[in-house]
Amino acid sequence: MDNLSNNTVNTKLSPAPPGLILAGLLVWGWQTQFMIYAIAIGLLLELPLFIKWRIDFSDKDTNQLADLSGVLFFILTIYVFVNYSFQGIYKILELLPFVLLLLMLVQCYGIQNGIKTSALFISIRRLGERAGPDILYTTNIGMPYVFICLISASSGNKYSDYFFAVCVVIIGWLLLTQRTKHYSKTTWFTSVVFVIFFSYLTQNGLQQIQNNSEAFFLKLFEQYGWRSTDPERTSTSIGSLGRLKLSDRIIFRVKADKPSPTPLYFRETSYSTYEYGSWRNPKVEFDIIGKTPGKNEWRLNKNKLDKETMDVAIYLQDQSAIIPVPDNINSLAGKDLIQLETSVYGSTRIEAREGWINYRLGISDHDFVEATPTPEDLGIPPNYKTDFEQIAVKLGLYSKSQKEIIKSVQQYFKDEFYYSITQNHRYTKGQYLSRFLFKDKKGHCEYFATATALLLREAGIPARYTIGYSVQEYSNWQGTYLVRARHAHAWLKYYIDGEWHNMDTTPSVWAPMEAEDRTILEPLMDLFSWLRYKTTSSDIESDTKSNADWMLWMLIPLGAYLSWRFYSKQRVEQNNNRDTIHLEFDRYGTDSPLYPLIKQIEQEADHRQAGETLMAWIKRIFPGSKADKYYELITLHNTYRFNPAGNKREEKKQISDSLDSLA
Amino acid sequence: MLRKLIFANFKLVYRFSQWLRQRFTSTGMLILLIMPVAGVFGFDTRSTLSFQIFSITLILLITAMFFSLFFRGRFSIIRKLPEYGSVGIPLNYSCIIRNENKTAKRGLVVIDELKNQFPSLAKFSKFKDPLDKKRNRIDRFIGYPRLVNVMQKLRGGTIKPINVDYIAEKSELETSLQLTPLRRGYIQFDQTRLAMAEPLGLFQGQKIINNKDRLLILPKLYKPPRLNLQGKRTYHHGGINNASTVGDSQEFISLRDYHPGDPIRSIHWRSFAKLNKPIVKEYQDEYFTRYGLILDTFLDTQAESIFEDAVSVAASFMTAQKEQDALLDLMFVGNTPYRFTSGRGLAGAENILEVLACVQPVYESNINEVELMIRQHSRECSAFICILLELDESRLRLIKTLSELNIPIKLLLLKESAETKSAETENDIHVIHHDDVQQDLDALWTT
Repeated sequence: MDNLSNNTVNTKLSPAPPGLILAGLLVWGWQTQFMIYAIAIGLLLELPLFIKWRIDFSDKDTNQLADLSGVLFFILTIYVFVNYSFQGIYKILELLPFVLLLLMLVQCYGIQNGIKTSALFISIRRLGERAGPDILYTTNIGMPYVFICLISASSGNKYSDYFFAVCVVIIGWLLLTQRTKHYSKTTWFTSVVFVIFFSYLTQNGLQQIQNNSEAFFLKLFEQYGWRSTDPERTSTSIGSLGRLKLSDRIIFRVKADKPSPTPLYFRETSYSTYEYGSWRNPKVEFDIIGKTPGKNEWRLNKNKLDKETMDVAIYLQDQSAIIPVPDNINSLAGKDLIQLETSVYGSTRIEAREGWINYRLGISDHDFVEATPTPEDLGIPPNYKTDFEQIAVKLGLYSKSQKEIIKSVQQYFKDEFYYSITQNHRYTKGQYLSRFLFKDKKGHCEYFATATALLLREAGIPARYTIGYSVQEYSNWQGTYLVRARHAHAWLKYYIDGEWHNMDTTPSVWAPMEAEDRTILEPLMDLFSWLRYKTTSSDIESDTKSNADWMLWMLIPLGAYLSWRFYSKQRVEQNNNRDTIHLEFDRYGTDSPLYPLIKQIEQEADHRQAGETLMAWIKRIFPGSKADKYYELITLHNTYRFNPAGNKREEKKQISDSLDSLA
Repeated sequence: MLRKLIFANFKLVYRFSQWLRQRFTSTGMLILLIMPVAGVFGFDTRSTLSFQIFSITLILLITAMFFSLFFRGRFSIIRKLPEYGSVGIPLNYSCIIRNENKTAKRGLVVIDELKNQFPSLAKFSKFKDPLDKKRNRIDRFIGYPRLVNVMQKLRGGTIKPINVDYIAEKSELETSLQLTPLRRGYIQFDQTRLAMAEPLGLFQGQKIINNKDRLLILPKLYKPPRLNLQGKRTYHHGGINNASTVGDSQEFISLRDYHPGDPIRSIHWRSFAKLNKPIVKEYQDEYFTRYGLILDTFLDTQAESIFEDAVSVAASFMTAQKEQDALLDLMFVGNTPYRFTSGRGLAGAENILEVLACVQPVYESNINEVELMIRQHSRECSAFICILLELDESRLRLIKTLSELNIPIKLLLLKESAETKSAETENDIHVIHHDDVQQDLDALWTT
């Protein structure tokens, strides 16, 4: 940071004191389970303190290695993002010391003892020497590397107090070497104690602030909560103002034997009781389904065979989750599955590993049997009782047969209501549906499903509110149905003739209307999702390992390239004093055949004095005409040694011939 | 509008960045960079322990800033500047620092500051940075790196801070600083800062001493070629003195009778008294060579570096050892036409360099004034050297006018690109490229 021209005083970063890089790496290893690597890297980076040779990395070499580090970082980011999504940021953080290792090696083993800013920033590289000394200079990255090790170590998130103590020691060590010498050590020490005390208080305070703010926001979110698949309760957006917006994120994929001409309904669960914008169930008990012996398969009805199968891939954030399944599910199979449970309200819960999992759904002719209706399935909230009575009278439902009622209700919603995902009017609590039924006559699926269910109940038909997904977007490229968050849907089940039937009064335009809101980034996000799915999911039946390892194989050629660059470089000797570096070049002509003779004469007669030319030396030790015979030889040797233009092979031969004749 | 908004924020950003760089030591700057990084990763205190590093770095910086407040004291500084400097050539000057405190001071850094001059948006828009070609689009669009360069150019030089290890109480210390001038013209010294790092070595406490001064920086000089212009000597009425300003030549020949029209001041009063008729002194008619050097100052689309080259080339010609009898007129148009004469005991090299040090480009082209000036002085001049910045229609017209005068003329064109235009060869123009000024000037010698 030698910005002298800008009236500034900063000087370049000084190197990290000996041992500090190793210490930083050890902290990183201790926190992140990379201890063996940390020791190895630390020793590798501290080793140059004890060895003399250095490698003469040219600017181009350094730039290439810096670029390679950049590429490594990019690959790592993609790999981690694909595997861990946004949570992967901590993974990247954890691996940073590896990414910067190449540059550190160049610094420690190179003769420049630093990295040029042009290697780190392409913009400076492009400016070249014209960038000026303000921005183009060599900086030592030892101290930044130590800090990066500490921040990487922090991602291990272990032994909080010890980590704080270790950080204080390392930063203190670093500061001790940078201490302003004209203050006494006592003053410095007092300042450091002051810093330790207040930073400890600050870090405790930060934790406290997070705890308090989280509690506050959780309270807030509980009030205006988001959709979740809780088998006992679901909040709807009935009564919410503004535009309903669901994301384009792909929730699961379905691969069917043949694409269906009509949307498929995959339900998650049904609910029986409605009040104030929420549907709920009484306490839900799940029954564990027995596993088919010898197979990782669960059959809901052991006597029925599967009519067809569908392969489903879904991302699980927890080991236990309610999964969306079609009504006529008959079996479930997949090596990722551990346990299957079902509830009387049609929920299917699995236990499996986290991440993308695959399973095969077997489908039969008959729907999975839900529990028979209970009195709750006929219940209407008191505040809406009169509203639905009014509509039932209007449609003459009391005097119709059950099938006629179904028909009339369907027709009623079809004729008089339309679909909308925007609500502009504020509703009075407890009158959300009244407004929908009598004034606005528009809403999204939750309005339609809730109103229909309650109207059927008014007409004496048991009905349940059902949530799940409408499977309708087929991707030819991926060969599967893509089910996104915005495909989440609500409909209802009614009970007549001893069976539950599906009914969906939401106008069919709902899916295209919601699709209009998709972002322009959707194709990109789909690609990432696909990459993530492809690299992390495994086969349904076979026990083959995850495909993710192919990414690791990519590192092998990179490692090979690095080794080649590293060992193919010319090595140079370096003095103990790092500032003065003597280079030993393999100069041309050092293999002159005259040298053995010189050595021989030196042993027999007298040594050459410093600065004494060969001619002068020969003249001194062979006075008189004896020296003459050497003159031609020395001239030939000098030509071979110092004339860059000559034919070297020929000259060498001449020296050898001349030596022979001399012998 | 967007550009105005961005430019308005530049000042803030620039001042803030200056403050950071002046106040933080290199280690302090590292801590300052680490702090937000640790803060971002430690935002969720349950995910990483990075918030602990954030806390330590934050408190370190606050502590360092707090301790820096204790640097106080009374100092005075006297700057001893040379008369001139030259572009690109480092010059040393001394500062006498007086510690007026009752205690000795250690570990001081002396930072002598040149005045920061923010350009107006109009001036900034006109400034062409040759490095822009190598910058990425965002940098070019935002323009902050360009501003940094403009600021550096306006500031005019770089001064290396120096360390003063010890200065005893109530005593003076003379120390030497080095300034490398980056442009010609007057360089304004603003203030001197005495900085001292606090115990942790992260932040500098500073004492600012107002210490305004200015120094003239002369243009860069090249070795000019000897030009063999085929001009004849011309009569200069009134001789050398009158050639430049007023007054007659000193070369007395004889006395003669008064003719109507002779100036009264020529009357030889003694002879008049003696002979009782007016007798006048007669002087030698002056014939000598006089060259006109025309400097094109109209800058349009060209880079300012081209104009600087032109000034340097003009300065090189003006200060070079001239033929003994020759006069050299420097002609250019600023806010008004200027003509300065040197040679034969008139203005010396320093005076001409002083003039050239302060020549500024003119952005509204008015080449007619140059034409008028040439016509006015064409009779006196034996030959013209014309240094052009561009070869557009108006300048081609000027060349035509010059050629019609039947006076030997040498045309030099300063340019950045290496491509040759047909108009250059047609008009026998010698091109001097920005990257090879000296080489192209040497080539002029041989041609």
